[in-house]
Amino acid sequence: MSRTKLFALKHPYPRQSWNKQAVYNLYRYRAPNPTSGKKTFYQQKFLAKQETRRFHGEYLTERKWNSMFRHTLRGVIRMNPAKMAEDDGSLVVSGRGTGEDPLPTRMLPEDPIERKKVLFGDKPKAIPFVQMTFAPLERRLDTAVYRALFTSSIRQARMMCLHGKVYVNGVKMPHAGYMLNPGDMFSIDPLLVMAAIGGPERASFKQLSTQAKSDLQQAIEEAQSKTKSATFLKASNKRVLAGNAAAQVDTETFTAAGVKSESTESETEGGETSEGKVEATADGGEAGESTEEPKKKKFHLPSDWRTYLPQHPRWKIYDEWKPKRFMNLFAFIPRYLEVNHHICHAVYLRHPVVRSSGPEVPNPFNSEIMQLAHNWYLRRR
Amino acid sequence: MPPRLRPPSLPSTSNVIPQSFSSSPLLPFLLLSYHIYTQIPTSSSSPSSSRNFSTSKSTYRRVRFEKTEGTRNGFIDWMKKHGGRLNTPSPQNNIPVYMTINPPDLFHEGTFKEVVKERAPGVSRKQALREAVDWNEVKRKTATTPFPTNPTFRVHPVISTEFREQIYLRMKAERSVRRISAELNCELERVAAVIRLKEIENRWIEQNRPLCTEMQKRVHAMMPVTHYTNFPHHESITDLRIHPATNNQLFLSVPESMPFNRKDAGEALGLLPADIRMPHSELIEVERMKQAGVEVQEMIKVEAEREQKEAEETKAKRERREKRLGAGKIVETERFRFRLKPANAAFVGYRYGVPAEDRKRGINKIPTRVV
Repeated sequence: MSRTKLFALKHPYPRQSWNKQAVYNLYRYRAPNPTSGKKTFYQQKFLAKQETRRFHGEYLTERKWNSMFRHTLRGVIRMNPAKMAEDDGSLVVSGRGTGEDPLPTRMLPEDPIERKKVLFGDKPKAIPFVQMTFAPLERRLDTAVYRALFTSSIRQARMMCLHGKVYVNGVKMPHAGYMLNPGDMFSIDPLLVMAAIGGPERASFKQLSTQAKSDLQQAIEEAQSKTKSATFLKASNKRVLAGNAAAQVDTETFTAAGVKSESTESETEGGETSEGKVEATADGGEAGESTEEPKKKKFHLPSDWRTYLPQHPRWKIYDEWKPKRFMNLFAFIPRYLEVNHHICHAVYLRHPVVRSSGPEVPNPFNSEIMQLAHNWYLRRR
Repeated sequence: MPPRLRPPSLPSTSNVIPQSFSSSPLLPFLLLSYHIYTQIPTSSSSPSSSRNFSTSKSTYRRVRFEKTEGTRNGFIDWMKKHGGRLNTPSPQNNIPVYMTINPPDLFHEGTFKEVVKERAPGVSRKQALREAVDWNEVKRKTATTPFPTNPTFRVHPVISTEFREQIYLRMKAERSVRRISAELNCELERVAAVIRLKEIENRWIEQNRPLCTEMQKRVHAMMPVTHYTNFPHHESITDLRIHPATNNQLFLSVPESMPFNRKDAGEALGLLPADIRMPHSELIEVERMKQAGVEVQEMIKVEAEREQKEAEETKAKRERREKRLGAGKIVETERFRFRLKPANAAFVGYRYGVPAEDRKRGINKIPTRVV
C-alpha cells in the first residue's frame, strides 16, 4: 500500500510536488551512497531502486511500472552537416580500422597525457544513458501535464485527468495513464491551470467565477423571457449582455487580457444598447420569478459563455495572476514538450531522449544510483 | 555474477563543517544544517564510559527517522531562514532561481580547509573564502541545474512568445516547416507544434476568449528563454536518433583496398545511411555546394527547386491518401462517422472483424491513440 503521508517531515522522501514541505524535504535530501558499507550487489540495487521509485511514479504499483519499463534507452547524437559534407565517413575507419593518426608517432608529444589529448582530443562526452531509466513515465498523460507546468504536482495532474479536465487532441481523456504519442496535443481549462499553479488568492477567484456564471445565467434568462429564443442567444442579445449591469462593476480598473481592442468595442456597444440593458434589468424581477416556477429543464450555459461577459470583474484573475510559492524552483519545461501558457495547450513533440549534453528526464539522482536502479529492473538479478 | 561495486575509500567531506566557520558569510551555502545524514560521533571526541574497540573508520550512516532539531523537524525555522530566499516569484533577466544547496564545486581549487590554511598573511579568513569562490561559476551552474544533486540534468531554454510569433509569420509567408526550422534553428516538430498552438490562440482571440498573458509572462520570467534575434540559435536541428541496431557489436571483414563509408556501414547494419536518416539531411548538400565554391544565387536556385519538388511530392502523397480514404461511402450520424468499405461477405468472421475482448478481465481499456 502506498503511503498516505506523502510529505511527512519525520520520514522525509523526495517527491514531485511544489508543496512547501516537499520542497523542504527535497532541500535536505541527500541520496544515500548505495555502495558505501558492506552491501551485496543485490542490496545496492535494491536500495537504489527504493530511493528512485519514491520520486518517480510513487503512486504506481511496482507491477504497473515493471510493465512500462523498457531496457532500450533513447539517445541522439548531434551531427555536423559541414563535416558530413567533407567526408563520407571513410576517414574514421581508415588506416588499421580506427582512423589515421594526426601525426607520425615520432612527432607526438612525449608526455602520455599530452599524447592522449592529441590523439583523442575531440572525442565526444559520454552520454548519460542511465538517466533515462524512468523515461517511459514521461509518456504518461499526468506526468506530461505536470511537466508542462499546468499543475503543481503529478498527483494533482492525475486528479485533473480523472475528473475529466484534461483533453487530448480535443477529446476528453479521463485516463491518467494514457500514453501520449508524438504529436499529441493536450489542454486544460486556463482557469483551472491558473488556480492550480497560482498564488493563494484562489478562493476569491472561485467566488468571482461562480458569481460571473450566475450573473450570466440570470441575464440570459431575462433575455430569453423577452425574446423567447429556445436555448441559445442571438448575436444582438450578446451585445445586450455585454453591457449587463451586473457585469459592469469595475470597468475602469481592468480589461480582459488579450482582447483589449475587443473590450473597447464592447464598451461602445454597451453605450449604444444601454436602453436595452435598462429594460432588461427592469424586467429582471418579474422574469426571475417566472423562471423559478417551471423547473423542468436544467439550465445549461452556452459553451462559449466566456465571451458574453468581457467586462466582468472575474477577468481580473487573468491580469493579476501570481505564481504559487516555490514555483521558481521547478520552473522548467523539458525539450520534448512545446507549451503555450496563453491558452494552456501543450504538444508532446517526441519521446524524451538523452544526448551527451544531458538527459531530458528531470531527475534528482546521480548516475551512480540510476545505474543500479536500471540494473534492478533488468530482470536478471 | 556482475562485478560488485567497491565502496569509495573515503566519504565526501561536504558535510563536515569546521566549527570556526560559524560566522562565515557563506554559511547558508556551506552549512547544511538540515540534512538527514548525520555523522556518527567518534568515541575520541565524546568521553563516554563505554569503550569502542572498533578500529575501522567511522562512516556516514543514514539515520533516516532521526528527529531534526527544531519545531516540526526544523521545518518552521527553515521556512523563516531559507524559505524566503528560495521563493523568488519574479527573478530578474530571465535568470532562474533554482534550488541551491551546498554547491559541490564552490572553490576553484582545494577545499575550504586548504583555502583558509594557505591564505596570504594579512588577509582575513572571510575575505580569503570569498575570493576563493568562483561566484560566476556557481551562478552559472545553479541557473541551469534545478536539482543540485544531479549535475547531468540541465535545463534547456524555451522559445519566447516573440519567437513563436516569428515562426507563425514565416508560415503565413508560405514558407515550409523545414525551411523555417533551418532558418530559426528550431526542431522540425517544435516548429509544427508552435504553428498548431498559434492557430488555436488566434482562434481564441477571434472568439474573444481571454488569454492568460500575465501567466505566460511570469512563467517565462522564471525560466531561461531564447529570444528572437536575426540569427537565432535555439537548439540543434540535426540530432540523429541512435538506432537500437547500432548498440550491438558487428564483426565484418572488409577488403583493405576498398573504402568503407557511412553507406556501407548502414548496409551492414540493415539501416539507411546517416546522411538520409538525419533530420535536415538537405543541409549536407548545401554544405557541399558551399565547399565547392558555388555562388550564392546558384545555391538559392537549387534549394528552391528542391523545395518545390518536395512540396509537389507531399501534395501528391496527400491527394493519394485522400483518394484512398474517400473511396468508401461516409455516413455521418450524431454519434458515429461510418466509413463504409466494400467487403467480401464470403469470409465469415472477417466481415464481422475480430471478436471484441474489451469486456474480458485484464484487457487494457485505456485507448492507445486519439485521432
